[in-house]
Amino acid sequence: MNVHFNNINSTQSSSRTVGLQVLVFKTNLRHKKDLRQVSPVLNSAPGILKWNVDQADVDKVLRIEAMQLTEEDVITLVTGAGFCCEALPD
Amino acid sequence: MRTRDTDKEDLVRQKAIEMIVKEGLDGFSMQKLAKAASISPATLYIYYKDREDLLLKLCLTVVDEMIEVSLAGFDPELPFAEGMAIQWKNRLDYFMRYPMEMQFMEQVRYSPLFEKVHEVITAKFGKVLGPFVHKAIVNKELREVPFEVYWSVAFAPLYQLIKFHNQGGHKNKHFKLTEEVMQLALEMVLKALKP
Repeated sequence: MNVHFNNINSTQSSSRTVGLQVLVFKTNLRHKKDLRQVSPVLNSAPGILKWNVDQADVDKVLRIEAMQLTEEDVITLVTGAGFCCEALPD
Repeated sequence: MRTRDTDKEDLVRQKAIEMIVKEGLDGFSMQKLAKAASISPATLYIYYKDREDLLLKLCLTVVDEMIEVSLAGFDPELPFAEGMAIQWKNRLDYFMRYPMEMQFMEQVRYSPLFEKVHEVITAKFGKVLGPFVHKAIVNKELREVPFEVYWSVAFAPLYQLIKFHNQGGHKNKHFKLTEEVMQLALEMVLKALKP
């Protein structure tokens, strides 16, 4: 379980940052080693309660349950770790 | 706030079952399902964690409905023959009403997914049917045999008749599972199960 209660970031740049939310992204997290690489980043990110990657999907969908986190925050984290990450459009 | 739309969830489930029946489990993907249900993959991932999560939840919904229909009006305190008659009628009722779901479960039966689903089925049915069967053994209405033997004699004949009904019999292509045919088979089954 990737549960973190510490340090809830208080920057609220849009209404979508309030309360529990599910954020989904298209990534290139194809392999187990990719997950190993990105895990520490996501596990230690404040605001991320749970995350998983659907590796059965062509878009390798990264799904995040988060509090007070923006899509941009996640994209910065994942691209910072060296992977592609873009929001899946509604 | 984004709310869950139960109509949309029902549509997603219905489309998923149709797709799996038509194309099998291997060909099934979240992307294809999203397209078929006219929603975005992103919305699908709001409801479900991943492909496996969706399949498991889908199975459990189907199983819950099947169990609910199967146990309608059933009471474990009923005499064995009467309880069996209700079971047969309910199960037949389910498969006539939900032929798609029945084919879907057939697909699942031979996948790794089935292990978890099977646990749920066994636990839920066992809670009600366990006491029913034990009482019947104590009352000398039912011969004590290994569970698989009991189940094969008690229910497999019904499922084979349903298959014949759907696909045609061996000799009679137009075989139909009527009330009379069902009663005949049930009568023979009850005879076979006596101590």
